[in-house]
Parts: sequence; structure tokens; C-alpha cells
Amino acid sequence: MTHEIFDKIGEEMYSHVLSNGLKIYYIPKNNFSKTFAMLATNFGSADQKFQMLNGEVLDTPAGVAHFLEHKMFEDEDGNALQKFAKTGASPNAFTSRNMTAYYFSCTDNFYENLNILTKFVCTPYFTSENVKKEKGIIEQEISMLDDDPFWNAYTNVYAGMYHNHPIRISIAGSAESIAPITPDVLYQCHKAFYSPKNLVLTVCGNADFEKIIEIAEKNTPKQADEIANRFYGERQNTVYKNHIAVKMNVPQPFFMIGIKDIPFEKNESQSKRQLIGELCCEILAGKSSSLYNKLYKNGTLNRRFDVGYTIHPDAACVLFSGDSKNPKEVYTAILNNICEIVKNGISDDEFNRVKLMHYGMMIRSLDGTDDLCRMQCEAAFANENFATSSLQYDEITKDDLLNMFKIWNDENRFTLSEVIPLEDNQEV
Amino acid sequence: MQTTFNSSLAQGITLTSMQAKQFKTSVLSVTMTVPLGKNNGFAAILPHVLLRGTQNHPDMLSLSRKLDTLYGARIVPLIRKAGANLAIGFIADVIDERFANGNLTNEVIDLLCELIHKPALENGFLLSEYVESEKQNLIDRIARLKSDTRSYVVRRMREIMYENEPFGLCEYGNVEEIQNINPQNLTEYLNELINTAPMQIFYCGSVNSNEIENKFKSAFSFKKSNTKPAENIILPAPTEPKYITETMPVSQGKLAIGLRTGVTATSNEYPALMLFSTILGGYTGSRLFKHVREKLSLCYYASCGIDKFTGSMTITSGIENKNAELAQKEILAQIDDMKNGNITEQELFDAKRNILDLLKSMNDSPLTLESYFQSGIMNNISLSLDKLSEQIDKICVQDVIKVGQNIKLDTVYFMKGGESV
Repeated sequence: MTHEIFDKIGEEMYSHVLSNGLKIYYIPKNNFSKTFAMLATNFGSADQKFQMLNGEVLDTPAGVAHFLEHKMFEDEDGNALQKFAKTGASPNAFTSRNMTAYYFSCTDNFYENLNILTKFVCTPYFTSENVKKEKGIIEQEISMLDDDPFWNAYTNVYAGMYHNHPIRISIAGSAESIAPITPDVLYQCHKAFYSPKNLVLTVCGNADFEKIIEIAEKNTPKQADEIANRFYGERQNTVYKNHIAVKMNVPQPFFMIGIKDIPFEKNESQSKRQLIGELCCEILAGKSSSLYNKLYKNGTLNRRFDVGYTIHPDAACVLFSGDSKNPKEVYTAILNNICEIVKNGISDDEFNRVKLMHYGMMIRSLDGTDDLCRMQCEAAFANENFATSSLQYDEITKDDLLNMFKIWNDENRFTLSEVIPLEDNQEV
Repeated sequence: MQTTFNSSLAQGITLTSMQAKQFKTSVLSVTMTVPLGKNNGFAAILPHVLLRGTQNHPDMLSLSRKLDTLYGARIVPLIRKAGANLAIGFIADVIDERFANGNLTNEVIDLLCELIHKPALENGFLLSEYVESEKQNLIDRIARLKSDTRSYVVRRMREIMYENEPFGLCEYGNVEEIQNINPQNLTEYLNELINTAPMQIFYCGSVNSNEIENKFKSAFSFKKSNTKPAENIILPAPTEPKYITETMPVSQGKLAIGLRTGVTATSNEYPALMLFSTILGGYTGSRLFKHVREKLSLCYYASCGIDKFTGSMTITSGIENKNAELAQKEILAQIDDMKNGNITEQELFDAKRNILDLLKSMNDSPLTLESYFQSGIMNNISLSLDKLSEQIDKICVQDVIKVGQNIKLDTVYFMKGGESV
């Protein structure tokens, strides 16, 4: 068992790795009412194509990771959601491109809940009947997403940026893609990626770490399967499509602009890359950038404008999103501004101001037990911890940022994804 | 539970503060309350115009850069409709001085005061450029409400259900009203609010309550005339429920059912109503989740919630067009079943656990506490979480059945998915 203290940010963390490979973390929050626990697997919608240990290569249906997330709750002795409902806990789960996470929060009966969580995630129970029934529910979830302008712009920006990487496909898949899903393929995915070696358990709140370890040890398999080998397709520097537009029930365009960055390398520090990416985003188009203020002032952008940096398996990108009557103007402004920054550099004043602001944002994220657990699970997949980035503000230089801007300074890395009004004349 | 500290800073200005050292970020809000009515657009545009610039920070760029130096403190517009009232103002958060240099909390309080009392002016009026541009933003925002179908159906259902009551009005006003806004009448409206509208201030963070009170007192010690928020008048349900179907060009149909319970946050029956709603559709152990989603596989979500100021109960679900009738029938059948007395001790026990857990969890989120307390105070209701939890604990099955028997169907709204696009 390891105990680390992060003085600078007023946090501490206990960690332990079970002999089956499961990584367990506990971040105490003694004066909080609730305790949050998250059990996550390093397996998301991007991990569609992989090789099992017996050599068999599987190309699974789009949306299978998300389907599996829904079905994991089912156990022979009933549904885990109903077990949580009896303890007063609030359970849920999510699937992203990178990971699948199962979690609950509660103010009472923590160990009973942790027992339910660790048990159901490690116990697959799929029948033809329960798989068929779930299709009706997931089809309605997909239908709901289909009507969401944000989701459409978000899915399409990836479809534009990537040629054959599975992140270009919607996380939930489509009604057609999930139709052929069988219990067999769900069992295969579970075997390939729900091995304790591929799981991280993080608890934040009030609990006894020894007891957490004891419950995790009891409910996870003694023997851990090796993790399957995944394929993300051949890397490409340029985007697949520069522009994608769809028509929907919106009064004015909603857009996402993506810049395809160079993929994240396994030997790189994930937190450092993320921090550099986020600082670049703020300097380029944050709320205190001249670009945003100029476009707000002339009515091209409103307060819903957002920018962020994301790392995926074998990929990384910047995403800008917002409402605009003229998304192309935003696109051009971003492109020109990157060019300017590369030419003129970044002033010390701006660099330090944005670092200060970002440091504040990082401190702010430490108050949410749910955010902390997610941050720690993601960090653990990259063999880091949630506090790593807080120690890197002094290390990062303007040159680190400029090097990233130089990569972004290439229109062949840009995709504009638009959701435009039904009555718009533009052809899509 | 958190200890709340309430005080009156001056006539018409109340402060609710909670010292909570466990947080690294403080949350502050300053709002002014007006009755929902024909000036909603004037009220809703104000925080947006004021955030464009002050006398010391004349534009958004200079305000944002100031906030950067306060370690990324945030100040965002707040427009809150609760019951028959509308509160407008700002909500802010800022990290604790333990992790920073300087007195950040005081600086944020000064900025909040500056935004309301020292806006950027030209010839004594708010800047025409800011007013015009925010008018367009507000009009765009109203147009965009329809794009978020999941929340839009609830909004539309309430508009129909409350067609003759203030709660049915849009908190952003309407296009015609917004087009009539100009720097002169908006500045007058601002001054009127400052002089008459009750102000609610909230703080949750590590600074102790006396210090916070003194700081806010020096920043916001303006005596207001003695006005009160609008009373929530509860009308009975119509004798015949309204059934309305409208079509939108989307793929999924959405159902929103509105019922009148006659019970609000100040009623003795309120805790029993919370339990009724939770058992029906408040969590994953609820009847709607188990029957409409899990058993019939009709939907991804089907849930129920209550509005504590108007006493309305709202049920929503996203379904295929062809299943609308089936879903509606099942939902109403579950309500009838509960009204007929078929609620088990186990159901009540599980629902109690769930609500008590949620109420206790609220103490971990300053933002949730802000919304809970400020929405109460703007309606002149003081809400204690401890007291509510105690009352819930004492409720028996008969109480829940009894409160259910007065629940009446008012409006069934179905937004039919049109041709897929």
C-alpha cells in the first residue's frame, strides 16, 4: 500500500495493486457527506477491432462497448440497478471513446454498494432474451442522440478528421449496427478487456482503504486474462474530410471545428500533453483571447462557444464548438490566429496569465468526488495520477506551446462540422 | 448538515451564507427578484448586458482578463424561474486563498457589486452597442429552445398547462418585447430593480459568515423599498384534461404529462408528495423505470419530478411515435395503481432511502445548495434540509396514498416525430 501526499493542492491518495493486476486508489474527503466509487475499464468505443489471445481477430459491431455497458448490470440473480435502488445509492455508467466506467455514490451502506459494483462488473451474464430486450432501450437512446445537434456535430467532426480510426464512429453505434449483437460477442469483449489487469477502481470520500481492498480482492477473478491487442488503423496526418454538414431542426448553425493533432505516443506523459494542449486552447480561443472577444463583439459567436483538448488511443485533437450564423468565419479566424501566434510568438504576460487561470480551473476540479475519480481512473490507465499535472505548471515553457501551435498551423489538419437549419439552401 | 446563516444586510437584501471548509472553491450569487410577467425579456437581458462591461472594465476582454488574474474566477449570468417569480443576476466561483495569492473572494464580491452598480454607460445610459447585440443573442436563444427537444417538450407542456398563470411564461420573454428594448428603457428598468427588487445574496465557502456578512454589507448596503415576491397562487386542475399533439421534424417522439397535486413546499403533505413522485419515477428503482423501460423496453428514459413552488408533477419520456399510446396508458395505470392504495412498505422504504441519500449528498455541492436555497428565498420560503429529511423519515404508506388521491391529470402533451431528416 502506498500513501502519497500532494501538499500543493491539499490532497492525498492511497494506492494498491492486487496480485491479479487490479489497481485500487482511495482519495479521502473526510468532511464530505457522500462517497463515490468508480470501476473503469480501459476499453471504449474506439477499441472495436482487436486480436484475442488465441490469435482470432475480431471486428466487432459499432456500439458494442456501449451495449456491453448496458448489459453488465444484468446478473443471474437480478439487475444490479435494482440492488443499488435498495441501498439508497445512485448508480450509473458511461461509455466514451476511451473507456467504460461504472459508478455509484452514496451516503450510507458504502461497502454493501462496493460489493455490488465489483461483483457485477466482473460477472458477465448475457442471454439471447436479455440482449434482445436491451436493443429496444438502446434504440431509443440512439434515437434521442440522433435528434441532438451537439451529438451530430460531435460525431461528424471525428468522422471528418479520421480516415479509418474507429473514433470516427458514434459511440453508441446505430440501430443497424447494434442489431447483430449477440451474447457471444459481448462475452468475447468482456474476456478481452474486463480482465482485472485492464480495470481501475477509485474511491473518493469516506471509507477504509483496507476494507476496499478486501472487497475488491474477494470479487475480482484470481487469474487475470491478458489484454487483447487493439488496432486503430493506419495513421494519417491529414483529415479525411475538411467539411461535413447535416441539416437538422436548428434555427442557426451549430458547429464543431476539429484540429487533428499528432497521436499521443505511449512513452509520452499524458498529463503534460493534456496541459500543453489546454493552455494552447486558452491562448488561441479562450474567453480572454482577442479572437473570442472579436468574434463575440461582431455577433459571430455567443457565450456557448467552447474549446478543449482531447487525447484518445492513438489520436489527439482540439475541438471548438458553438452557435454561429457564420461558422466559416470562425474557422478562418482560428486558422489565421494560429498562423499569427506561430509568427509572433506568445508574450510572457499572456503565458503567465493563462497559466494562472488554468491552475485555478484545476483546483476547482478537486471539489467533485465524481470528477476526481474519473481523473484518477484516466490517469491510472496512463500510469500517472490525478495530481501529476498540478506539478507541471513550472516545467512547461512557451516553446512547448509553440511547438504544438506549429503542428496545428496546417489547414490539412482542419475539419469543420456543421449542423445547419433544414431550410438552409446549402447542399449537404 | 451544513449550518446556514441568514441575515438581512439592509431592507430588501438578504444574505444566506454557509461556511464549508471542505471545499477548495467558493460559490457566490447575487440575484434580484421580480414577478414573472410582461417584463421577462427586460429582466433576462440585463445580466448579459451588464457582463459586457463596467466603468472600470469597459469591455468583455478587460473583464475576462481581470478574472484570469483572479485564478480563473468565473462570473456568469443567472436567470432563474421559480414559481411565479424570476430572479436575475450573477453566479460566481473562485478558488480558495489557501491555493492562491491575494484576497480573491473580496475581489470577486467587489466585481459583482461593480457589475450591478457601476455598469459602463454612455450619456447616462447603458451602451447601445451592448444592448443591441444582447437583444439579438436573447432572440437567438429563444429560437434555440426548440432544438433541445428533451427540455423543450416540458417547456411546451407547461406553457399549455399554465396558459393563464405566470409560471407558463418564458423566462426569456418574447421576441416582440425584446425588440422594444432600448438603452433608455433598459437603464430605467435597471434603476427600478436596484431600488425596488428584493435582492438575494448567497455564499458557500471557507470564509466565516461574519467576515462574509461584513464584506457584502460594505459592497451592497443599498436600502430598497419594501417589495415582496409574487405569491404563488395554486389553481385547480381543469375538469377535463387537455390532450395536445404537435409535430416536429425529429426522429423520436416525446411525451410530457403534467398533473396538479395542490401541494407545495410549504404544505405539510409535501414530504409525502416527494415520496409519491420518487416511487413513481424518481430513480432506477421506480415504477416507471422498472415497467416502462425495463419490462416493456419502450424507452431509454421515463421519469417523474415535482415543482415545489407550483405543486405540479411532470412525467417525461422519449419514445417511438407508435408507442405513445401504450406508454401513456402504462404511466397513467401506474399512477392509478398507487392512488388505489397499492404501495408496498418496501417501495416506501427504498424511496425514503433514495431521497434521504440525495438530500444528504446536496451538502457536497455548493452549486446545488445555491440553487436550493436561493430559489426558496426568492419565493419567500425558507427551506431547511434537516427538517425536510426528518419529515420524510416519518411518512407512512397511508400518507403517500392520501397525497396521491388529490393528484389530478391536467395536460398530456405529445411531440410527434415528423419525417426523419
